[in-house]
Amino acid sequence: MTVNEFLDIIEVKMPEENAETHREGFAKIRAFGEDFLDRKTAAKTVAFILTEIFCEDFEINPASDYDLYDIFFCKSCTGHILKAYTKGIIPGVSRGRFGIDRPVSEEEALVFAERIFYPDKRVVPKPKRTADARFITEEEIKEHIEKGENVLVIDVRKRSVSREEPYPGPIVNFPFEELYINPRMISFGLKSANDLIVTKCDFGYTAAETAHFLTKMGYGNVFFTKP
Amino acid sequence: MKITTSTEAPEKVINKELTYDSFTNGKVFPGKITGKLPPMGWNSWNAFGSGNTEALTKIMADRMIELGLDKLGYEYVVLDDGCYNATRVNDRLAPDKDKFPSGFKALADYIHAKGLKFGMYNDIGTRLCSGLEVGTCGHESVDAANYKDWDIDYLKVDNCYYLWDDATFSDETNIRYVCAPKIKSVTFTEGGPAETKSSDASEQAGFTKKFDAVKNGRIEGVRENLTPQTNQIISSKEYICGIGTNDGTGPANSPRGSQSAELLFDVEVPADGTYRVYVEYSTDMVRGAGEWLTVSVGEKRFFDALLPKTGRDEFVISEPIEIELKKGTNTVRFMNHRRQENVLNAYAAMLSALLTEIPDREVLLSICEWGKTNPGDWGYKVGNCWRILNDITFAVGSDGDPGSAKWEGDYTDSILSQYNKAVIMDEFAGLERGWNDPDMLVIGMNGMTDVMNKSHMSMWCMLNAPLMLGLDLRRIEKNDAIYKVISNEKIIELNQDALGIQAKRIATTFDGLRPDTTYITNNERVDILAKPLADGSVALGFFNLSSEDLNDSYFANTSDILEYLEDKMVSPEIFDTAKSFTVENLWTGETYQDISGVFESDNIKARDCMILRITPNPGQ
Repeated sequence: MTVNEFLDIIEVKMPEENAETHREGFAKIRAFGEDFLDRKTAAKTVAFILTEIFCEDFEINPASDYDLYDIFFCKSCTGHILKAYTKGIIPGVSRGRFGIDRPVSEEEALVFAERIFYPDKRVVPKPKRTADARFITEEEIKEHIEKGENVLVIDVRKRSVSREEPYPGPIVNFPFEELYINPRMISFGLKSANDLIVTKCDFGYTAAETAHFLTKMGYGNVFFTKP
Repeated sequence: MKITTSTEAPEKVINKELTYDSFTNGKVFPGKITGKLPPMGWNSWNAFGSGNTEALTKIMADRMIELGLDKLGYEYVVLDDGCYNATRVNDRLAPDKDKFPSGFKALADYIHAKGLKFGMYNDIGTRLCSGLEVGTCGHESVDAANYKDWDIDYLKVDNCYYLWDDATFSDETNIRYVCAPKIKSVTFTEGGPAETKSSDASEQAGFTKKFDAVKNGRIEGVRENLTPQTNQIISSKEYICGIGTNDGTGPANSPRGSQSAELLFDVEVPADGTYRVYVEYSTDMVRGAGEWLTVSVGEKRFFDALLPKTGRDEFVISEPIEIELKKGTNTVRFMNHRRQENVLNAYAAMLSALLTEIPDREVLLSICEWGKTNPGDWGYKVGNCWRILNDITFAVGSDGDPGSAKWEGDYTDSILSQYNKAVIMDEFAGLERGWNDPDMLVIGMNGMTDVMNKSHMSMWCMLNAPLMLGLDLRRIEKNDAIYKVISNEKIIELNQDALGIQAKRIATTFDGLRPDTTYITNNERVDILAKPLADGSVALGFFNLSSEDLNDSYFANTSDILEYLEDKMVSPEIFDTAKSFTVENLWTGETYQDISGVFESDNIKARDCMILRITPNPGQ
């Protein structure tokens, strides 16, 4: 399916009274109408409709509260997905996974379209509150190391990125998507469960989500940082 | 050929069967007993720690009979650490007289008179884990003679204080034996008179070729890259290191795939003959860089020893190593598999001593080096089971205290830490090999709920793990909750099924991963395991590993099962074409007929499981 075909379905489902006002807004979305409709693109479409056309309000907890771990590949996409997800329009495909690249079937598209216009058909997920990891500066990390503490700094970027642009200093590269499956891979770098663990990436966003995740996995002293 | 150990130096590798290159040949050493199902019994460690005594052991043997556990298959009564005198007496092992006043032979007689079997404990190092200086290193023959006198049927052997690796309680600098030095370059020259010693190409007459290790060497296998320190040194652009074997004791690594690395150079020479190789190297004593180098061409080993120490980061040229090459291209291997080879040698020495002293009695050997040397690769040659990780609990009990255990944790001391590794090791196990050992059962310890006991027992049974009870059997009675778990005959039957195939994980709720081979330690998931059985049926286990009750069902169908198990099943075609199945829930006893071929779990509570035995109905 393409985005255009999704919009065609949505237009069919649209109640008559909305048709006139919304068609103009839809024309804007048709600008990316030939894009392949995978779940992340469906989320982008839905988010656009909800925000630009319906002007719905959103209350979104930190992403890690929603137990979706495959959505942190691009910041704006994460926002779209969380909007479509938290409104109960597009669910995840399995525990922890939104299924960003999975194609949307016609059957699913019909369900999503209906939920846009009929809020009683939405299935709103409940967020789970988790402990938040905090930001730490590079200077503070240095201070801990100088005190003789064992500090494990983890570059959570993809392996190819880390190889091409390595961070200086003693650091290991465990990408977030690998840590999500095997959080225990960091155990070799730890002398005790309360050692300081610091996650790091270019902008701090993936590092923050990884830090929240490791806290959920039982590590007690986790922070995140960026260069 | 007699296999020996020494406290002076690691053994020279003369027997090819003790080398890394033999690991995949499937051959076992004389004395290794094949065709045995997982052992069942009771071990003193989780129940009483080093506080076990003769009196307690006899009571446990009595209780095994009173509770009918012997009829269920529990037969070994194993004395773990804490039973020996602090020192050897006339170089022989002796019992701790306060704890075992009648001696081990009397205890063995008592246990045998009940129709049970007797197991003991030792250690391949110089000391036991308790610190007593009675480890078997260098003493295998005299110890085996003692074990003959004590009529043992089973021997569990730890590797604390082991001399030739940085094992538990060993000197950390022993790591120098199990990792090659940093290598910057190798230079091959013609073999010639002893005076021609320089590796400087300009001074050589005839053939000479220098290889830069980073630019020209090939790495085969996987180098350990698990701490910031080793990551820094193995990503060096100036030299190669990390030529050793992964330490498998902790939960970080997958047990599957390559666990070691070799540095290879392809060198073309003009004629058959003897050549020399000079290695530009630097020694250290840290993970990733040591002092011991092995040089081979094919399976032929030309050098296998410590290189002279250098300063840290100081590179020197070695003395020439003579190797034989054939005309054309030869691959020369610079490696260090000593972590695995040294320990295989030690356990093989014990096995050969037992065979010499006790040729007419079956003695099972339980390898307990906690997965440090990845014994799934070599353990089958000498042992009946091999531990895969450090201990499942460090809070063992004592007389009056049940000790405690956990469902999950960040190190090895939890049920799921052990399960997560064992569940993808099914291809290491089998009747002709032996069994992965995710440590003794912690059923009955503090922290264990009825549900956890049930799931733990189900997991260990489906994983073909040894079933070694570790509780004070005075604390249970027939038909109480714990007894019902450890006496479920239908579940035990899975573990003792004659086909001897460990269950395979055929599904998990993490999307897009190979369920049978991916190492997963995120426990917020549901696993489905399938185990083919000798009568053509299949056991299907649904495990909710998470801390939440499930509100939905999970299912597996006959195609899913056949996809993963067809080549291991007795009659896959019958399973495939059956029009109906008899399905039995092995915990509730409920039995029903199924015609859909789709087997569904009900809403499984947190940490709970559902185990089905699925039998195709004949002729339908």
